[in-house]
Amino acid sequence: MLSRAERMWTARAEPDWTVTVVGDDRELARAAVAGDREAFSLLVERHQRTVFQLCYRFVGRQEEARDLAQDVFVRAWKGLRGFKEQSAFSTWLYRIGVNVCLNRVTAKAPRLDAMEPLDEAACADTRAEDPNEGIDRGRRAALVRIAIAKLPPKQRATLVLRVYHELPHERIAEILGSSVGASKANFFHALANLKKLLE
Amino acid sequence: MHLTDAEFIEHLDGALSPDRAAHVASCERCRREAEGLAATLRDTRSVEAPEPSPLFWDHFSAQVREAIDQPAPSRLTAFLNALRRPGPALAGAAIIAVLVVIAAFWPRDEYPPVVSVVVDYPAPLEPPLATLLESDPEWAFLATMADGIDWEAADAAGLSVGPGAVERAALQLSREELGELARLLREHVGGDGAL
Repeated sequence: MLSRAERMWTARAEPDWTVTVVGDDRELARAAVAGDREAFSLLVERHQRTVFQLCYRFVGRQEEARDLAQDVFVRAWKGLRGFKEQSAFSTWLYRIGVNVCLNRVTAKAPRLDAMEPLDEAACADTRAEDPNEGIDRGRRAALVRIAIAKLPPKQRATLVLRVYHELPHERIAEILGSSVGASKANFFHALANLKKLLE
Repeated sequence: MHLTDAEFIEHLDGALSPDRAAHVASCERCRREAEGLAATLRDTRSVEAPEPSPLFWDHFSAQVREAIDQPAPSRLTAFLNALRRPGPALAGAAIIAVLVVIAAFWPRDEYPPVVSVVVDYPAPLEPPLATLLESDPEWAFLATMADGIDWEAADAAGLSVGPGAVERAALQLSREELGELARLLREHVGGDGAL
């Protein structure tokens, strides 16, 4: 089913464009640069979940993650002319997202005490599980989140992109402006530091 | 030779070359390290993130549209918004306001025009005045205080001060508010009450 933005976009586009245009971020980005806000709305709809999840992994609070994600899209809109199509639109958006998140988490101390209560136990199927195991798992998850918040910015960004967004190191390197080797090294140190923090 | 950092990651990804994988199997140290990393990775992967409702996304898209439709706020509006916000922005604005108030009332026998000139004309200074400032203890004090302000954080929080805005804000403060700002300043800079 088409979303609201998709319906509006396809209604404005030529009929024989529909299939290719709707599937092409770059085409939408070009239209958005030309001032087409519906095209940008479609890009927002496509990427909002990913951007929100990225922000949430950095701040651990839904409300703050939503505000950050909005900031990411507003910055993307303002900076669309800077998107030169040398990378995928999503890579460019990730880059903005990581910068916004890193600016936020390095501008202030992580609000570990303010992180939302974990609902992993509620999300998981725990019907056949000992209640104590659910509590232990929730506690363990809380410790992991706190430990991640203590990682240096680049290690944290690499870990989030690799583990939770499952991006290959080549793409992470592109997003963070580093090399593949640096991405792997950052990931190694992130895991090694987490291991120490969790011991 | 033991595995490098990158090779440990390749091992986790199942992309390590066969000869290096054979090393892991035969090297107690590398094997233990790889197992530890794998266990940490499992722990990390197990942490879920919430999945907002479809309604959340409708609101989100609408709010982004609204945000990009709004004209950029003027510098004065941004400053006033920052003053209304609690937390770092307010603290930053308070520190700036107190600095200006202190500067305005600071006894200055030797260099009477210095601070007022700085406040009125923060733009590039003429060489003689700049030279004068370098040796001015009051300016040194202000510079030291301003050093502690995280300008990037203040900027990220939307704090943007237009020319004269701080002075106007400070002049509107009551005596009690000034006292509170002074207290905040002491708290933030860890002063000894000598302000």
